[in-house]
Amino acid sequence: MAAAPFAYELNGVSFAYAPDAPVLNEVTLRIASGSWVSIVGPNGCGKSTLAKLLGGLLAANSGTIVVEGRELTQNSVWEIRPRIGMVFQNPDNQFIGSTVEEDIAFGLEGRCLAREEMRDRVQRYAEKLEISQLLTKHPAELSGGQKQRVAIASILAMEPGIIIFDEASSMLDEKARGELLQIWRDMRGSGEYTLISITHDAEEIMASDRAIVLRGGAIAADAAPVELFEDEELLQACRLIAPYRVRLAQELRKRGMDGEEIFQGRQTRRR
Amino acid sequence: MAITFEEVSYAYDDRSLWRSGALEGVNLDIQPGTFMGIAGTTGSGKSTLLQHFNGILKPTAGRVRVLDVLIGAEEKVPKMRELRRRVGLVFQFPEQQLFEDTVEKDICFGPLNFGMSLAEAKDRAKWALALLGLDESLLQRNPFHLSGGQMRKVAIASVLAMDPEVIALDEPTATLDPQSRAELAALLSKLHREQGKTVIVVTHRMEELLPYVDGWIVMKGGRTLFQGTTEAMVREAAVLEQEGLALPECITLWNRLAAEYGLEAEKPCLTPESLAERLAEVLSAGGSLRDREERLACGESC
Amino acid sequence: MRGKLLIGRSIDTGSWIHGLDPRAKLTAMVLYLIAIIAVGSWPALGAAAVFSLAYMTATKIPLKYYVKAAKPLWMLMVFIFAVQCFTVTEGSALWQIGSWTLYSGGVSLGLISASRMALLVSFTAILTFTTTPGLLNQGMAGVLRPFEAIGLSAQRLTLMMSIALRFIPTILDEAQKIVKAQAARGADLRELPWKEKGKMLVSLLVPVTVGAFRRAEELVLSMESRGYRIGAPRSEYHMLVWKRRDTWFILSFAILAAAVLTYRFAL
Repeated sequence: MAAAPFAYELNGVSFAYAPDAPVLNEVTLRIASGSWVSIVGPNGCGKSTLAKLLGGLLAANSGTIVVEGRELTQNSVWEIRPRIGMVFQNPDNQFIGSTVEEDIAFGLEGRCLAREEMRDRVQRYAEKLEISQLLTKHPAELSGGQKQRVAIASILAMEPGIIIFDEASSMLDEKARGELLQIWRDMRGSGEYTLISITHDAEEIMASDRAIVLRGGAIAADAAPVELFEDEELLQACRLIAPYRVRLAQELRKRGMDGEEIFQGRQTRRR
Repeated sequence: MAITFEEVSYAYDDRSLWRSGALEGVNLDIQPGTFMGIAGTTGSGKSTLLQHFNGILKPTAGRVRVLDVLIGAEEKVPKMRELRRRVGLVFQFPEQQLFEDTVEKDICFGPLNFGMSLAEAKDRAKWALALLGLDESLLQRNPFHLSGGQMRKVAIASVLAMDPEVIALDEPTATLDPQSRAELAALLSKLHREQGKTVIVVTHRMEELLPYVDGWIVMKGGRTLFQGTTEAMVREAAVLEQEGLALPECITLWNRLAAEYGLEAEKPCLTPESLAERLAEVLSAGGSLRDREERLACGESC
Repeated sequence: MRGKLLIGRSIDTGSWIHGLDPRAKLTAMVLYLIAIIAVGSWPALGAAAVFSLAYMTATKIPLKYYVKAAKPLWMLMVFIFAVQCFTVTEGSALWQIGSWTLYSGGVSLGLISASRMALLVSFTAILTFTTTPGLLNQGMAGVLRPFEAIGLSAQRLTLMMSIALRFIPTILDEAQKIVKAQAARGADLRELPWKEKGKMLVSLLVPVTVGAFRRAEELVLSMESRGYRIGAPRSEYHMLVWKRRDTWFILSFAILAAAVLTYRFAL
């Protein structure tokens, strides 16, 4: 299935909730299969709307969205949607089942999978996300980080090729956020998934392959994360702050020093 | 002392069956007029701790003294009204607690409850809005039509309008964009410096408060793992990390560089500017990086 | 939420009642309801109480949880008791104030009615305490299936119920947080005069409603993105297996209902 070179090809996509207030305006972009793309921008720039369009939860007013070589239409959406998984911001509001295993099984039941297959997948993906010991727990007994892991397991169990994270880490504590970042790195490393992440977080953007900057419903920039963080004006516009390391390197450079050399530490330099 | 905890425990009544953010034998001293950060993972008891500051929760063991009010497990509960005016508590996602149809009415809710006249309350609303850097024109707007960041600030203003001596906030910057976070942290610091308020902030992102706070309280499993200045915390970083606290890179990097260049005894430089400046001094004093290294290497081997 | 609300939460003690088929438990509850309604005298109440206590004990769940489950309805029980005291004019006169007389029959009937209510509420808690909501839904779907012939969608109905059960604790939790937040702004339910309590209610209802809608919206998105489509066929994760003890369980309730009914109407 992942034979298609592009997970997404968007051509002149526009969207508006009300005719006089367009949210997205003629967005054209391509996302390579297996890549990890961050979508960034100030609040109200249309990021979340774009995520919903990509997930097939909203239909574009004009323009075309092609998912893995197939155009997304009213008819094809039900066949394409299984290829796409979405994880949202609030860990509580996407927990559908009343126990962890029921939540993971919810999407599988909709696929009419046989009970054996469901049990197998629940076990397999719970193990993958290290939540096997939580399978019979009620959501009220879990932390936010654990709930987000459940959400990811529920999505992965449906075996999609594309996963969209809509500010999925923003309600987590620092430790859980770090763990989530590692899960994303592993997923990217496996090469099985195209990751699209809507985020404000500098570290997450830095870890991704590419940053698409939205401003006023249009693409303002499309660059490697390193380039984004060097562009002070762009950062201001998307209300981002560069990671500490990048800012320190900039300050060192101003003073004629080489950041890389300092970060590596003396041990490595001496070798 | 603004707030003192003596062996305070708090148990939710069904802890045998479900997880809870209980407290166990917490001792604390928070001086008046300080800016404190509270860190710790989810479920470590941070929010429970905060709710003891204005008597929303009463300890099940031990004693809490807030300003001149004593709340003890053994004592009869005093009237909390006056204390709640003097200690403002901002819960998580405070914008979700707004309910009036204008910003002004919402901000006046607190002051009116505490017995102020309408005119006085309206004055307070203006004042509080200005403190948070919001425009007066917002007063007649519907709070539900504001942006997320503005709603958050209005909700904080609605607590500040009571002009409390102590203000405690539970993750006030959560889910905001990075620049809004930084702005809000700076605003709280201004409140502390210019209005002389005791400010206590629970946060998951220590780096955003680091430039401003006087000290930290680190919670774990309902106990205080650490209480002290930022400097002391940086020195104890290794221990705290071992206990599962996620420390920001500015601290871990400083500790590594400090060890490398022998700066452990100094006041930590935790901003990119200060650290770059300090490194520049160290390196120029010791010649270029490479020279210094060769000398060091030589010194060790000779 | 912590402690006060037990709605929709199962307590796993691994007793044999936990292992029963949810369809059996649901049917048994209906029979229990019939029996309780038919209880009209002290001996019948006594029998029902002994029967109920035996099963509650068998769940291995501490009795105080059953008491807690019935507690929120104590006002209703007092009300039922009072109504009987006021309206029943049988038995001997106990007390007279002005033109109104309290009769022993009223007190007796009032006590029976209130106890019935208490028994019913705490006993039906067995259902939610010993069954995970997912199983309960599936049981419900099973019990409702025969009604699909008359155009009832069991799947939709049970999904609705499961989501309600799943989110009631969350929303009540949020409501409690809002109560605390408004208390911090000087509107403490306990310390306010009655006149102010109305205003207080508005300050709670608006954010709670807004919050519930926000949650619902997000939940719908999440369900849709996991391929949920109203009316589309689904397979079932839990397997329900009817065992002999399920039949015995139902039978015991049928006997109780029959006994109570016979005692009341035939003897």
